[in-house]
Amino acid sequence: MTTINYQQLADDLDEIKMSTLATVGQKDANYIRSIVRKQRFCEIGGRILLMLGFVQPLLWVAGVLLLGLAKILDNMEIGHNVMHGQYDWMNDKQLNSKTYEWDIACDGQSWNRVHNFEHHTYTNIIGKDRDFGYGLLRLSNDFKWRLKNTWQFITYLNLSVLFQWGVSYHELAGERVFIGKKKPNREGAVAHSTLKKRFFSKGARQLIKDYVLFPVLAGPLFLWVLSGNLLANLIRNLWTSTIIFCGHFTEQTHTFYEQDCKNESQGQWYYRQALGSSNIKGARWFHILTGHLSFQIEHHLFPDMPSSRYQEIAPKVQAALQKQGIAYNTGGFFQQYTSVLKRILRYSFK
Amino acid sequence: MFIKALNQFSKLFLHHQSFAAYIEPIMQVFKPAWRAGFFSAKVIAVSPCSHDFLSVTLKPSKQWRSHIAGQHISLTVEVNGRLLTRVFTLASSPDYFKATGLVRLLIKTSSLGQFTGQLQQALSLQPRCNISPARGDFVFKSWHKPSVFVAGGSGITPMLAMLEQQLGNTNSPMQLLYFAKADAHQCTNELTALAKRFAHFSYSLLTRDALTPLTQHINLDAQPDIYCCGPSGFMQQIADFAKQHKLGYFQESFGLALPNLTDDSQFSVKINKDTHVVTSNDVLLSQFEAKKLPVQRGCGIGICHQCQCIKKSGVVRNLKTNQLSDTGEQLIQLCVSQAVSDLELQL
Repeated sequence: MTTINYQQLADDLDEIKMSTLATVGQKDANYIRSIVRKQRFCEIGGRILLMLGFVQPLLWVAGVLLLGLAKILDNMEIGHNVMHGQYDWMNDKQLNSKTYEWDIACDGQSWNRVHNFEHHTYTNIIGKDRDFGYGLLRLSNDFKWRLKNTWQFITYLNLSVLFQWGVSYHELAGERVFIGKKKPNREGAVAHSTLKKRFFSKGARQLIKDYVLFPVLAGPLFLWVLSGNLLANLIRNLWTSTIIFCGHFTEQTHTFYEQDCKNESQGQWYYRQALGSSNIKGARWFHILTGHLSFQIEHHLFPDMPSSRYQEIAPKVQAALQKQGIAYNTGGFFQQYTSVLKRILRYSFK
Repeated sequence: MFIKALNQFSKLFLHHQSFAAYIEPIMQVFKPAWRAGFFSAKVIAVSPCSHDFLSVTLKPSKQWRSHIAGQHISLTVEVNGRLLTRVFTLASSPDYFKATGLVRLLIKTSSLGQFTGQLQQALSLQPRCNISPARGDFVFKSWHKPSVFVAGGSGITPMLAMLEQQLGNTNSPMQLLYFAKADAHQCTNELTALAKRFAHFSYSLLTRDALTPLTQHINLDAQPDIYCCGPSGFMQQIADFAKQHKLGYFQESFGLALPNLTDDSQFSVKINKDTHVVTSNDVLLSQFEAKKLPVQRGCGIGICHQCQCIKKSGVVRNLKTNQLSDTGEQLIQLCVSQAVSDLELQL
């Protein structure tokens, strides 16, 4: 770390940020509105097609895929980024980080607090960033090996299948709220009773919507709709889990210690964000479906910059990091995902 | 009832405050200026007037209900992707709207203004904008008494609407005292036409330094009602005059008339991780702007809620209502909030 000119790194990255934000405007507003529009068409179209399965089962398949796509767009490119405040500058009530709520079991406000603050501030700091391994997986030697880590690959698969519920439990710090675990020097900003209420309220609404209300509205097509909703949620869960794991848990991502990060400068913070994240190469449609979290490095450096700009600034960011000899961790989807799986398996054992 | 149920369904299961908000992106495919909670309005004409005034003529959508002369609307325009909102008083009458379907705004622009500085160009680029329902209680009160309208600068706009609407409804004398910089008076042709048409109407174009001998212009024996609109200092003088002579007085404020605070107490405001010091002799919005905190200024007088934020704890005084908040979490408008205790806010 001593050979890196952190001040220069901060200056270069700040320059990228400021020059890009100065050009944010109509193009970005049009972009996010077009994504929201597509999401609505997918959601409404998907729900209608699910009910036409009795006419032609392929229509039901198309309905499942469209509804899954709608949920992915809502959670990734719209919800995640809007709740980061990337589009607050638009003053659009429907795209406001304070009020946005998404189509997932996790309550938006709880996520906003834990994700935006804990994860983005303390990225990959052991003991501070609860997102590192989600308290379920051992992904570095910084954690003591336990017997349960032996089958953590199965735990990972279960987490992926039920990802929306895992995120919901995790983001309200379920182990503190429900089990009563305590950590020194950490005070909850929101009362446990409020968090519990949000958890159950949002979760119940999601369950009722997908597994009671819409199936009942479909009348005799109850099972077509119920099973379609179940599969659409599964598609979304697997996709979001996979992309998020590729963003932070490839073999190349680093971990950090709290004592090393005390009084860190802006340049050191940028350094940690860059090394704690990894990108995925792909086509434009792929980046949109990942919510541009395929540019996880750029997202962690500039979390409130409109995501539509990450692809544009990526070469400049890479150049700024390379200038200081800092690795820019990127690769194709299969390369990065294989790396994630290897890491999960590797740390399953002592 | 059906709409209410639909909105409740949207709130619970579609994660939007109303069904209109949920379908907004789809509606905009067919009607680009369609926005949940707003009315759309077609931009008919945008004409610059003298001394940086801009006359804007709009044709509101059919759903927009008319106004009462003297009321204001929020005008929302998209400028480079940003929805900017400001409050303006309608300068045209309800009768004019009934006859033509149009409303007119007379806006004082500033080249440095975030909103008005870009308004002419923005409106010339987009065929439609958004407006709110008409609001405000600065309206004509009595046809049976003489009335004196006292306007300062752009405070002429509600007077124009009220005169146009009310002159035909009464025979009681109506008088306009219009204070502005020399030769900066607006709509003088309209005023001349009204004076020719209605014998019981007269007007005087005055400059600010002519404010002192107000008694020369007003017939106190007739005990007229005074209607005043203009800068707060200007209105204070007219209000004092009306009080002194026991005249009925009604006013419309452009800016918030702050109480004369003598309390320089300092309070800490915790915003996310940072703590800032504020005093109680100014509203929070101005102090946060001076500290370059990420706040959103809107109307500045507690109407448009653009500067709204979440108060997590502490007490503020709403300077518009003079009411103290409770100590818990609630939404507050920074532009009308004065710190009364230490605060924790979420911007």
